[in-house]
Amino acid sequence: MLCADKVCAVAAICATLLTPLARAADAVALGDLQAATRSLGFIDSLQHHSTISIGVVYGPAARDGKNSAGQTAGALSAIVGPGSSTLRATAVSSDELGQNGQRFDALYLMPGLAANGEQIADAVRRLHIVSISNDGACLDARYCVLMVQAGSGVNIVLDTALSAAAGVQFSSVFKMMVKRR
Amino acid sequence: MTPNTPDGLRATPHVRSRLLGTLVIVAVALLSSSPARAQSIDYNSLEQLFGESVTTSATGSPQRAAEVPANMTIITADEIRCSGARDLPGVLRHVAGVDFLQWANNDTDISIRGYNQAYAPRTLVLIDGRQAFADFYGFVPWSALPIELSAIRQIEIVKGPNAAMFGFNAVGGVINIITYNPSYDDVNTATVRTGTQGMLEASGVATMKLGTIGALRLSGGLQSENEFQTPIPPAMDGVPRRQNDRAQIEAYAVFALSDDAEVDVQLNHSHALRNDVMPAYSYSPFWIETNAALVRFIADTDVGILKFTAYTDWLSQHGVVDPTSGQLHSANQVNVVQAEDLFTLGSDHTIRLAGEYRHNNTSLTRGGNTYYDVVSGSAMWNWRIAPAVSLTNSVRFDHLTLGFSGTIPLGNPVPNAVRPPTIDQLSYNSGLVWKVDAVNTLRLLASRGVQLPSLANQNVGAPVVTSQTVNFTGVPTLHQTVVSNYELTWDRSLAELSASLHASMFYQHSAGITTSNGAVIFSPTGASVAAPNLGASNAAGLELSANGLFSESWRWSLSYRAEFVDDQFPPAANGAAEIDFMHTTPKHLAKASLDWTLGKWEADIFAGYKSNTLGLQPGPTQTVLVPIGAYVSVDGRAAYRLADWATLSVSGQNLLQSPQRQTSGAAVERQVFATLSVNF
Repeated sequence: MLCADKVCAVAAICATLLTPLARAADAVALGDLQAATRSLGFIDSLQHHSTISIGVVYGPAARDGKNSAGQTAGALSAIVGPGSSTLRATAVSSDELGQNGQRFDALYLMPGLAANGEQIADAVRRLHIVSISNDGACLDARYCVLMVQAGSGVNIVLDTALSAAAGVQFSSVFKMMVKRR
Repeated sequence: MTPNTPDGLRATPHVRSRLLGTLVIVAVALLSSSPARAQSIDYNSLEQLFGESVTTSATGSPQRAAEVPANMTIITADEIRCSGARDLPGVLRHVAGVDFLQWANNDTDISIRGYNQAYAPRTLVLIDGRQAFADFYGFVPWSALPIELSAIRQIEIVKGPNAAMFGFNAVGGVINIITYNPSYDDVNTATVRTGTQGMLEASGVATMKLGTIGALRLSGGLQSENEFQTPIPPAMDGVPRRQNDRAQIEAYAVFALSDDAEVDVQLNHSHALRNDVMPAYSYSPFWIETNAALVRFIADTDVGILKFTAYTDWLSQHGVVDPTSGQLHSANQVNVVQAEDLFTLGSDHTIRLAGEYRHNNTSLTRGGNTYYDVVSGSAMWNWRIAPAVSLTNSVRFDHLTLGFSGTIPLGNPVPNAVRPPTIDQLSYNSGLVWKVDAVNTLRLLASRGVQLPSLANQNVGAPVVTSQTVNFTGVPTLHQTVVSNYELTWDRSLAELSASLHASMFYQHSAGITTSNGAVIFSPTGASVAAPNLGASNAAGLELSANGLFSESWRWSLSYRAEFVDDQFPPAANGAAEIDFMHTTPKHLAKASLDWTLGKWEADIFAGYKSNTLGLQPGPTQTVLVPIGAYVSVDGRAAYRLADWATLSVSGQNLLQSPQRQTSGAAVERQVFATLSVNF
């Protein structure tokens, strides 16, 4: 029994260490994407948009990153946006943000982008758009405005400093109902 | 206490002028409007986002139901629909820990955590935050509430005092009825219903967008039914029961002034003929008429969410026939102005600052009106101490001045020298919420609320009623009832079973409990019966509840409450002074429900068990206690969806046994009704 516990513990540690890579390759859970898009409905500047353009950001060095981001973009585009708006999502590499005339209303960040965090945070501030991720590490690295996870309960954390720097205004009701940091 | 015949408030001209004023405000709002979103709470979007109900009734701040610092139950619109109920008491009787006394087909008293009585005064009921509690006699006229069931988004029930938020009379609990907001919700429903007791009902709700400037909701209903034919105990028999009638109409408009500001306007009218059981436990039919007008301005600003609210409620009550006192008429007008600012400080603090002025006036007194003015200030501070721990403290201070206008007639049993008193009271709510882990949440709650004597009981001295045998009078120096509540709650999610558990232990101390009848004041013109402060009462209780799903077709719930009340009244008052909570509060209350859905079919069954209690009836001189046996009541509903837009259902109350004795009054009858609901 004790031996079995040790095996489980080692397996758990390995799983934890490998999680970022593994998650980067996985499509994001649909529940996370739905909660993220619903959050967009509480951003003042997106209130009247009939179509919301979302860049799904992947790391240029991530193995299969573009493919995973493409899958996520496809899933996002199939979701009805807030206020019955249409979501149009496109995969984009973090080093291409704001280039080639691409304009987005929001960014959805694939997991495991900490190495590109500075680049993304800079783009968020420069483009005045919201960045959303389900990766809790984005909060410590300060490159996501919202961290949105929908597991057994929805967990949303708002980075008020990055939000202010990007000029993204959320409704006061929303700000009161999420965790702020 | 019985209504009297003095000069009533002339409500109709007031109503007209107020309605006219409101229409002017609406017109101004229309002219200055621009396309925009509204600033009020979008419950639907927030529920979809968080996957759970959202409320503002606990602290004034929008919160997820799982995070509120209160013991709260939220009944959703779907649960209201599945209840099969035809009225609000029919919905509330299924809720864990809610006590109900159904005296007649259309007269029910509801309380939370026991302490129920005829004209129950301890539960504050509001519609979208506007008081629906009738201050003149301190009760809730359930059948005359100006709202249709199909216009209700959710019913929020707070157990225990929530007076720091809502002020006086929120002592046993608060029931805040939240209606659909036409800005966000498209609700278009028509319902027709017929059933036993000659019941006929038609009601409808429609929402519409007013171009780019706002949105409107209209609702109305008509209902008529016969009264139960079961005999009234001779001691309670008074005026013959009449047919129940009810009519209601309301309009709710929202106008967006800018991207960040809106004006809401609500106008309501209702009237109902009901067979009341009076505080002295005799039956008497009454017409009650209510009118209300509300204007609310909400703005999302740099300094927080600002909200200004002004409303007026008019209530009048007319005795239908009274062979001893003739035509009875009394009226009550409440004017309220509220202002609040709700804002965040840093990442961990949410603050609400509010002020309120209230003028409450009643025509109960011969020769004039009794009134009071209340100036209040309140503050709420929610502090997220740690990611899993939050502490909320709310405090409210109320300064009340009691007054009298008019001429106190000769023979006043309370000397004219008795000056109307002022009352200063502090209320608080404090709650620590600790999410121990992903599935367990603990709450430690403490609160203090103040219940005012009804205006009838504290009117300034002149006789309320002079019948052939006895005078009744108010006592302006009557003390308030102060209710302190302490409780520990535990919520646990059982995801593997698709279920959740709730447990709570509470201790409640009520000081200065008032009753309508029990003191005698002597004056040169004779003796008058008056309202006394009887003493204190303590209650301790345990609440357990669970609910969940099995398979996708079945939903279930179970609840149990054990409560033990210890009244500390003078021995002579026990059972003889119109209240006796120790013997009338059931020690055991259990409820269960089972809902089944498959394709186009739905079936719901609700069972309630109430242990044996004593009930009050009028005696030769004062009330007496009579035994009421334990009973089980069963309600049910079966429904078939004819089309996506039409549902036919058959539902019933008190199905198990008819007649069934549930109170000290007339036994209730089985009620069965068929309902056709159409969405358009």
